[in-house]
Amino acid sequence: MKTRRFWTERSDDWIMLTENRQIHWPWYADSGMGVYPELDSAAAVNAGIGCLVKIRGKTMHQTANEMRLEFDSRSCNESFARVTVAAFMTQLNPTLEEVADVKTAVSEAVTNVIIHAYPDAAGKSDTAQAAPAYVIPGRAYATKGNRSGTGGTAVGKIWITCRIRDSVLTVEVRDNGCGIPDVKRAMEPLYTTRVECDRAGMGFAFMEAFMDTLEVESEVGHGTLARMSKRIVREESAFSGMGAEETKGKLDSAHGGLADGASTEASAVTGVNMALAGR
Amino acid sequence: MNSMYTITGTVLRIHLPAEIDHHAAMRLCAETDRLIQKKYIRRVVFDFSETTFMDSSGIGMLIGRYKLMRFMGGIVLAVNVGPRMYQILSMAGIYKIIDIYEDTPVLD
Repeated sequence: MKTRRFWTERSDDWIMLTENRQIHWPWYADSGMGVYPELDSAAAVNAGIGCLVKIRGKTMHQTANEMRLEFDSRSCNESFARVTVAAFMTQLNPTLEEVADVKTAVSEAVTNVIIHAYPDAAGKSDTAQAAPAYVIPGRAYATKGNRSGTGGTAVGKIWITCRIRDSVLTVEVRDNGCGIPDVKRAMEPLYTTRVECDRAGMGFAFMEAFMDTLEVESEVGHGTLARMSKRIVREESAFSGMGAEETKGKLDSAHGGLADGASTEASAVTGVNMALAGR
Repeated sequence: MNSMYTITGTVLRIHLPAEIDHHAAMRLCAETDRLIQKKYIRRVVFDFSETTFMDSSGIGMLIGRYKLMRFMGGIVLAVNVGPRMYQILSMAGIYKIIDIYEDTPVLD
């Protein structure tokens, strides 16, 4: 049963739309929008992402969910980055193993930036910002990227963008550091430019192993972008609260009773009626 | 933090933290090297009982300690390795150079 989900504007409740345009209101979602939704037009329904569905006069549209994170390129932030991405992907209802896989891939990508991207920045592996040996009060120290000019050396930034769209989680880790001269060589397993730091040279290999796709774009002097994605699908996540079998039974009977491609409004109302009858 | 390292005779046992990333691995590398070079150590045992997360920084740390111990005529083992950790270690091919045990083996 192929389904599409639509988020409401007002709340996080959603309605589930099946291929033959029946609407099933989730058991917990009495989102105060009235009793049953009605579809605006079949064309809008089939459009998928970004399409508009008029529900009782109120327009809703599905958007991809996205978050962006910016933080200092310091090793003490690696754990924070992992946990943040893991928290964002929770809405996909992943298994523990899927969370662990994504956390490992994110950890690799972030570590790559911290170790390689900003070779001039001091204190990249310290928790405290590196400061000059002595600071004369009142004197401004002009350092690269230091906006306040009060001393210390600026640390580079890392940007993580997470996007959820159609059960696919995409994570992009970006920096504006020194870039990778030969991306293909860099992605070879066991290749590392930092042998003295006990680097195994397996960062990219781990990222590729734990995620579905990996793309790396880099420009020397400008920065690097690592984009990875993973498909996380849970069939029964919408109705997990009610008990999958119980709800499924109701939905199946709703399906069976309605003709394919019948008028949308009528089917929608009847379908939801039947689905909610047993509540 | 001091209880992470125990030295019994010539065996250094390191109780690894729950998450081994680049940040933790740097600290572990430095402290382990210091202890190996300060005391006479023939066997280094990495205890993974509490470890639930490790990335390639941990692999690099293991390889680095193995190289050091091989240079000094010793061995490195990994004990109490859970299923997830075992998957990571075997993916990296560490089993070729380091013995991996699911429990704590009794060695001479």
